Amino acid sequence: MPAKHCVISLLCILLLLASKSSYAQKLDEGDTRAMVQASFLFQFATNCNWPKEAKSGKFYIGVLGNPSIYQSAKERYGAKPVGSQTLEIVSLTEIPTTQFFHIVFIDKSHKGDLSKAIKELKAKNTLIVTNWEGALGAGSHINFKSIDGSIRYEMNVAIIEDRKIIPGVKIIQWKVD
Amino acid sequence: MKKTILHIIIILISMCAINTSAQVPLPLTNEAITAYQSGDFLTAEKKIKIALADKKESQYAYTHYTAGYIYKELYKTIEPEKRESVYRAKAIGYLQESLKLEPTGSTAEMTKAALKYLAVSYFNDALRRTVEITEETKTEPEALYSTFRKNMRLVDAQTDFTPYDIQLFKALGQAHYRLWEANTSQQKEALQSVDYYQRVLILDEKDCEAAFNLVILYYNQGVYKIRSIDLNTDLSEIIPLQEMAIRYFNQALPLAQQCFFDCPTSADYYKGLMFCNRALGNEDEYLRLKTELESKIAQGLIQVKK
Repeated sequence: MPAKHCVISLLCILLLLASKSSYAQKLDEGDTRAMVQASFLFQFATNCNWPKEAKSGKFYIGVLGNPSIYQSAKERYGAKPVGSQTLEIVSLTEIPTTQFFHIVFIDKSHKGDLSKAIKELKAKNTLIVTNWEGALGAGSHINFKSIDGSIRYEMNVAIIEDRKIIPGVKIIQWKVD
Repeated sequence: MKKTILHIIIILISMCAINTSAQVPLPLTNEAITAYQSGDFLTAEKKIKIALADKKESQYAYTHYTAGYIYKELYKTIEPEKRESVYRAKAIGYLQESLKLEPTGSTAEMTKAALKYLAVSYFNDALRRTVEITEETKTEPEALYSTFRKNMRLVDAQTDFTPYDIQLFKALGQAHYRLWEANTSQQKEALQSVDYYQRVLILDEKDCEAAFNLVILYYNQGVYKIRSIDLNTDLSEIIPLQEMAIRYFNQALPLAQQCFFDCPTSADYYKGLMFCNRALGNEDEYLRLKTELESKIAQGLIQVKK
């Protein structure tokens, strides 16, 4: 009798082992901070009014540093319409001096390039967007900042308007001080 | 591997024949046993029906125990994959009756062994059903599990169901996660999955698998909120969506810390904590953990799953 009990117990164990589920949950490795910043860049593109001379051809957004933001912007918004223009996302290695960009995003890993951007793009209708503390004071037009883990943005409306770009009501409404 | 296990099971089960040494002469029951021993289970069923209809033989636990064994064999040979197997239900019914008539003694011991086998088959069905549940069938695993518990209590009233509960709740947590993943607007599936994992943690607060699956569930719900932002999303919706995501990330973070500090070191637990920190804007901590993980992988201290 005890031998039979052993057999039954062994069977139970084997049956339990045989039926163990093989499904495994996986972490979504997507960079949500990059996704949100990419979404804001698209919102800036669609909610600001550029002067007439910048409304022909493609709408260019250049991303300097942060490949995740570039990838996210390209995947989600690349080739999408901005008014009558088609959006093109470009990965930059330096501040563009010849080609015109409607928006240039400078990541904090390229902080040192902000002063060059301000100088080179001063006469152009280019919106400069950054993502580090103090960038707005250093001349950036729109700067992302983290508030309780959430990404928001601060902006210098006067300097943006000086570049002949008119920020939409919504953009101004959702800015933080 | 599964085939090998099944072969072992079949061989072992065949060793569990009916004990033919009945104390009282039960000729009709013995005829059923003879058919059973020759492997002719359908004839054995006919014979045992006659024995059960007999006023005298039906009074004995041994007759019901024999009927239980015959129906168990019919279940195993004819309907092993059938959750609604009538043979299995009948086997359980007769075995229960046998126990009622003779709660102790050698027949009772063998009856319990058979009952345990059948009870475990319900547990396995419950686990298997979790893998394939749909919106319509999602209550079935718990119903099957309930049958398992009921019968196990008959085998041993003191049965500790904690390990079984944990296994089933984890499987159900995964099943509902899968339903949520297939349709992320189905928030109730995510909540149901959370509920099952939390039930595991109530039973064993150190269960790393359940804790980490909760990390994944909370974290991925947050990511889903952010991923739902597209070119049609209005600017006014981005901030509330972000705040919803942050709430999920904040729920995931303490569990990710628990896995990281209390569970065996793994790349998954590193990633869980890294991604939660990154999503909450703690970039320095994210980079510190990332560098540490890369260094440990390079030194061979952590293996990365392929």
